[in-house]
Order: sequence, then structure tokens, then C-alpha cells
Amino acid sequence: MDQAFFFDLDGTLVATEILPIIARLADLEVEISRLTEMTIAGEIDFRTSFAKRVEILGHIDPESIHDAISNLPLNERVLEWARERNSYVVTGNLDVWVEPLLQKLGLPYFASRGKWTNGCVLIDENDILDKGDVINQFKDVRTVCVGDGANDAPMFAIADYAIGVEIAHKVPDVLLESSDVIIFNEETLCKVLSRL
Amino acid sequence: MQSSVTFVISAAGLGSRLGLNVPKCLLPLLGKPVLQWQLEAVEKLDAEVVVVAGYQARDVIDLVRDLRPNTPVVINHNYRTTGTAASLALGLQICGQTVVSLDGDLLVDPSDLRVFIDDDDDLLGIIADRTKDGVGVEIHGERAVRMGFNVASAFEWSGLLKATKQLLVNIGDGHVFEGLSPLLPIKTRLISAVEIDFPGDIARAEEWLSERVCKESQTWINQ
Repeated sequence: MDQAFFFDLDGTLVATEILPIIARLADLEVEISRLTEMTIAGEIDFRTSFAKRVEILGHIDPESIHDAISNLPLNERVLEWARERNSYVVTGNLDVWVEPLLQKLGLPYFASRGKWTNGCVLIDENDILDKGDVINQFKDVRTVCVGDGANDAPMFAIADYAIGVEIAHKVPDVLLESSDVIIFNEETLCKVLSRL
Repeated sequence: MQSSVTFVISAAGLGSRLGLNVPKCLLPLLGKPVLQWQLEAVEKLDAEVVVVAGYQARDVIDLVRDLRPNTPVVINHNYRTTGTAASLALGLQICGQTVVSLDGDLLVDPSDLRVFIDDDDDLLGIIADRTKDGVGVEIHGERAVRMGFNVASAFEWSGLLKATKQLLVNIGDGHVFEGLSPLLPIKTRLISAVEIDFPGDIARAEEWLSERVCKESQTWINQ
């Protein structure tokens, strides 16, 4: 059976978290950090958190975001491995903010969608990415997903094999519950992926 | 030349017979968790390691990351209702060609582990002792021909096995010895090992360990 590999962006292909960098541009790190804590603690779900995030940061000029995140450290070994296989990037991040970075990675991708209009970002409820919906689109193929955050849980629950990555930080319990294996560095990730 | 060897340490179980609220692999012996003794025992061997966790997986994951970060930790979510074979089967998915299956509650002298991976044949590790709840192994020549709780024999299955990935493909999800029975005969090797099942085993295991550990460094002598 053919396989398809799905990679999260922050903490998996990119070595750092993207959101704090965006928040820093408008001096809103504290607000975003608080929002992130609440999301990790399970006080609000990803969709609510995402909508709030866009509300707080939506007025920042996307060009300045593109500049700020264009040279982030990447997990090069994983990226190289991914490029040689049937791989997709699956990120809850907003395409308005991360599209140039995704283009640079060179892999087909799924992201949350928005529009930059009249000095702010507009999003529609239906355009917030559900990673589970992405996996459901792939029938007759063995799906392998790689991620590290709570919003990866929907794809972890459905995929045939789920790899939790603890390179940047520990995975939350909700992700551990659906993980088939946990790995701690890039080299081990590539080895495990090659064995599947 | 041996193809790549992977140790699969099945450390998912509750250890209910021990009656402690800690997985057996995290039980301290001479101050160090069982799993740490196992990881140190394989340190100098040319082999990969996969740990299979389940009960209190988060604590097992944290220990493995601290001690040996290039070790994948496979998660057996059905640890309450499956046996060691289920953990082994999950570990097999990401192993190399040759597998050494090690029960998470078993301490083996490092020199015996080395002998295991140096031998080209499939191997069953046996101990010349009978314990309560142990699996007897009937031997003809050097080979195990029958295994079971009711098998009359001076020898017992240790919980250490070396085989190819292909041989173990239908190992099942109960006891490993049940999955092995259709695959016999398998060559056996006597090993020096101690298992911790009941509270009374702890003192015996610590005594066994202290005979094989350097007092100053608290590390294995026979590495």
C-alpha cells in the first residue's frame, strides 16, 4: 500500500514556534503567551484560540511577518527526508502569515485560510484547519503523521501511524493518548520514518 | 556479519503482582530504576534500542529521554488488556532485521546480552531455576521443544529472546511464549538473569545485582 506522510510545521519542520515571533512584532508577546497557556491547559479549544489569535494579531502587516519568519531555523534532516517522499505539511497557522515560508519548504500544504483586507485579517469559521479532515481526504493510502501539539490530536486519532515529536518540548497528554511512538531528535525521527 | 540488531524492551506493564503504584521498569534497585540498568547494560553493544511503554508512559518517556535520547518510545495503549507479545509486536514495526526481545522486569548480565547478539542463530534465553509462575522449557539437545506453565523441566524461560523480525510476525498479543510455541524448536542458551515479579524478588534482585556491579561507580562490571 502507498504511504503519505503529514508533517506539522512548528516544532517539527521548523525548529521554533512561529507565533511568539509574530506577537513580538507588535509587542503582544504577553497576550499571546497567555492565550497559548490557556489553550495548552485545555481551557479553550484550538478553534476558539485561533480566532482569538487572529483578533489580537490581525492588524499586523503580513509583509513584516513574512520578513520576520523567512529565516527561521529548520529541522533540515527531517525536511530533506520529507522532500524525498510523498509528504504534506499540515499546519493550523494562517496562510496569510506563513505562505512564503511554506513555499520555501517546497512541499504541498494544508493551512488555515484568511484574507488581508483593509488593514486586517478576516477569517471564516470554515477556514480554520481541522487536521483530521485532511487525513480523511486520503483513502486507500497508509497515513503517517508527525506532530507535537494539541491541535495535532485530530490527525493523530485518525492516521494509521502517529509519531509524537519531543524535539522542542514534551507533547501534551491529549497527543500522547493517540501517539504510536515518541521520539526525541531528528535523527531518530528519520530512522523511524524510514522503517515504516 | 549480523544484520542490524534492535533490543525491544517491553516496559508497558503494570506489575500488578508487585502491588506498587509504579511500573516495574521504574522500580529502583540499588537506587537505580530497572530500565536504567537495562539501558546501561546494552550501552556498549552495537545495537539499537526501542522501549515500549504503557502504564505511566509519561514517566517512562522522561527517563528514556534523559538517559538515551536516540531511543524511540513506542506506546502500547492496551497495556491493561494485552500481554508482552502485544508490546513486542508494536516494537517490531520500527525495528531492524534482528530483534532481541527483553522483558521490562528482567535484568540480564551484559556479557550474556553480548553473547546473544554475537550468535547468528535464533535464541531463547533460559535460566537453570524454577520460580513460581515461571514458564518451563523442555530441552532436547540444545533446543527448546516445548514451553508452558505446566512443563516439567529444570529450566525456565527467562524473557530474553533473539529472532528475526519475520519469525515473530504472528507473535500475537498474549504471552510471548504462547506465540513462540508454534515456532519451536529454537536453540537455547543459559543466561544469568533475575526477574522481578513479586515483592520478595526485590531483595533477591538487589543481591544478584550487587554481585555484578562495581561498588564505587555503581555500573555493570561485565560490560
